[in-house]
Amino acid sequence: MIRYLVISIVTLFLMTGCSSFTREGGIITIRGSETMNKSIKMIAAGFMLQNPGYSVIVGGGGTSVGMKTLIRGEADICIASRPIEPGEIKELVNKQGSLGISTIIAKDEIVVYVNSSDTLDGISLSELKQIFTGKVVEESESGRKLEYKLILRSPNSGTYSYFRKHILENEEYGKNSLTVNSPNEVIEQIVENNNSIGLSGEMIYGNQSIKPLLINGVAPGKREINSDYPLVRYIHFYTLDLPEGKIKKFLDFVNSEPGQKIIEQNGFISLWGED
Amino acid sequence: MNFSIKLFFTGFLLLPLTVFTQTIKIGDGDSADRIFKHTSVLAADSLFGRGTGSRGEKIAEKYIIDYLISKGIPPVSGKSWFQSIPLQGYTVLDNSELNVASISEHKLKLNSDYVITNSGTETLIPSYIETAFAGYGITAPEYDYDDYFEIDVEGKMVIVIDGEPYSTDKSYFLGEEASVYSLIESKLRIALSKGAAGVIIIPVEGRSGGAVEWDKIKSDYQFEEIYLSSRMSSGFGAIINPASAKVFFEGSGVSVDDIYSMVFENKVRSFYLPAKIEFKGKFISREFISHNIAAAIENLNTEEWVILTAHFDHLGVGKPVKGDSIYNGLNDNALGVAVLLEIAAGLVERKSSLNKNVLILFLSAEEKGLLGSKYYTSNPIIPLVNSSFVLNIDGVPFIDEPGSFEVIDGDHSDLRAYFEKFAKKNGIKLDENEEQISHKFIRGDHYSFVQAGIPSFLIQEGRLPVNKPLEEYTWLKYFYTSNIYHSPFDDLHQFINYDAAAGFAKILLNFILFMDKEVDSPKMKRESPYYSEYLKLRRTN
Repeated sequence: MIRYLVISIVTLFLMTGCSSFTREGGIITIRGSETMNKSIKMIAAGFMLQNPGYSVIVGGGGTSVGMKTLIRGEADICIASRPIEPGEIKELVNKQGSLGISTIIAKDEIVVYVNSSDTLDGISLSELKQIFTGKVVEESESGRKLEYKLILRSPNSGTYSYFRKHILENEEYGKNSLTVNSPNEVIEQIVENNNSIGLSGEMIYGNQSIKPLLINGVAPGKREINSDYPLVRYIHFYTLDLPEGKIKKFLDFVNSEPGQKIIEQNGFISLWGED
Repeated sequence: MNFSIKLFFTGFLLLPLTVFTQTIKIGDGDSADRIFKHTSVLAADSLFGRGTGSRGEKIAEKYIIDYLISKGIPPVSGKSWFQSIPLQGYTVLDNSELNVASISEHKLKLNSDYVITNSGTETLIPSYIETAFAGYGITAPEYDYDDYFEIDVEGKMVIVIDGEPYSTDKSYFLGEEASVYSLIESKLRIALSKGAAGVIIIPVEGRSGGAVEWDKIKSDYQFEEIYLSSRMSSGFGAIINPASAKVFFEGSGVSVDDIYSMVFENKVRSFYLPAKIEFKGKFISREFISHNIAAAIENLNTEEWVILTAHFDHLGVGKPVKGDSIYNGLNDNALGVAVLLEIAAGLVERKSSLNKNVLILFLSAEEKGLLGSKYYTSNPIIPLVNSSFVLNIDGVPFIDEPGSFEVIDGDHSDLRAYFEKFAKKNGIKLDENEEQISHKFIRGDHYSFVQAGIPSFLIQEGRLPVNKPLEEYTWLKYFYTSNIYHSPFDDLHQFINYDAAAGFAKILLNFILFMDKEVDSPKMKRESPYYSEYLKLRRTN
């Protein structure tokens, strides 16, 4: 799958013209969201192929780590799967003299997965809140008591923070939980534990051991910009200033057709379609 | 091919040339007719108020481009007419919840109790947070003023009052004029820089006794909030109906009337409030592309460009007023676009004698916070350093031929001196300008260009009319500002003096021709806060 993706991306870059090689250059350091890490690495590879003078270093660690790196002045861009928090803005002002600039680059569905052996197919947003805050929910049709082990991402991740703020309304996650770092590990744990539930910023196709849940009766994965799926968020680039120079050049590439194609191919929703 | 067909095709090919060689007189009756025709199309109900990102705006784009093509005016370097602007829009829904808990719990209602000034997922406050009253919400070291000196608002909601410390001293918050600290956006940014979650503003009655017009505030904030895809970090922003503001002060020992007394007695102070607040906002969001339209009258012998701008968007469709829901924006700014089309037609006819390039720029999303011009200055089509100056057209004389003009350059550049020289030569009277750094200057697209270091200004009708009695003229201007501006009644049913608009087009065209002969370019003043941008452009070149 990945191999075909890489081939198609390289083809895309060739089609969009490698003749525009420039003599400009520089290093662009990006840190943040694990959710977008793979996509941004692929976009960075395409960017460097088209602009040989540039090096793009992409690191993960989660949105909070990305923000801290930006605040310390050690990154040019923080990839964030949640909006910046007021405390982070204050630190950014104190350390860098900037409130931070947010640039939206994609939309992302948060998909809720259970093990494929589970009889549950869908859930409401309010039931989701109850389950993830550790309460027992009774399934309306079968009367079955839904008690799950929560597979959570690290508190540094944007997915963890976004879900807690927007769905749990700042309540704490339930105690019956296991914390892992990467999105792949969330899926691995759900595959291994029949009675587990977890979140991912990615729609995963072809894995027969997991099942995405319908939320409020709507299935994820349509990747339509105006879908009714209720767990949709923006992915942001945070920078200190309005993008200019090398950062703008990279951002323009992210928003270009090949950049947005990679975003789509990795399961995210492209924002800028046909003009 | 028979002869008649040949003749038809020959005629067809010659048509553009015929148009090209026809002499257009700007400022006469025909000119007024053309402006009337443009305005009739652009302000028609069928364009639904040209809201940003709407179908009506697309129709307006097509009309403008078709007219430019008919006059033989091409896009810059023959490339695209369009500069694509990536935008994000939020519409706040009525089922949003703003709850305040103090001695008792209060569920505030959107529109009747408050309006949202900043939308989006950043604004959500899903559980109760603490609040503080922070005076005007201003930190201004240059005036030795800080509403946040004695309070820590990190993680709190800040309640502030509208405006800024009052003074008649021009060196203190610009005296009676509103400084940048009065802007809602400034208050929000200052609060965010202190770690606050957001700002709620309490409007204040005018010192002259003017009551807060809640219906007007409601009307201003009824439309979709639109932002550039790149924008400064944001937080919750709202304006509270003064009649509902008492809920924030419950249990504090201070009433809203006490707050007003503090304002009028110049005794504003900050303190913590016992009230807590949460906001569970519900929004519809969308992402879309709008366009600036750029046409050029190019001269290959120079890199210098003069930029003429007019925004072509307006508010779109909103809440009905007396059964009318289309906010047509005839004066704001269909008429300005019509005048710019007329000037462009006049300039292209004189192309061979022009010494400088002219960029004709129709800007989008002005009504949403000067977004089209902000995007342009971050993504210029012409290098900013080659942009000599900007003349923005937004507000065209429509009541009577003006007996005087107002030059609004914010005192940032020496453009006024150039216009004075031109006016003197042509017997044009200027108003004594009393509002150089006023809200008028910072509320138009010219401000975006000044912020980018390019001398920019706006010319508007002055205080004196030519034909109407002064009292009637002044009253009609006041009536427009108070009752028509930004309402569904700024439409084709009102009286428009198209001869006055045509005369204005002629004056502006002549000014551009006058500037075309000037050897020196206008300069930014050292006193301008944006002088450093002006210098930076020249250093990086």
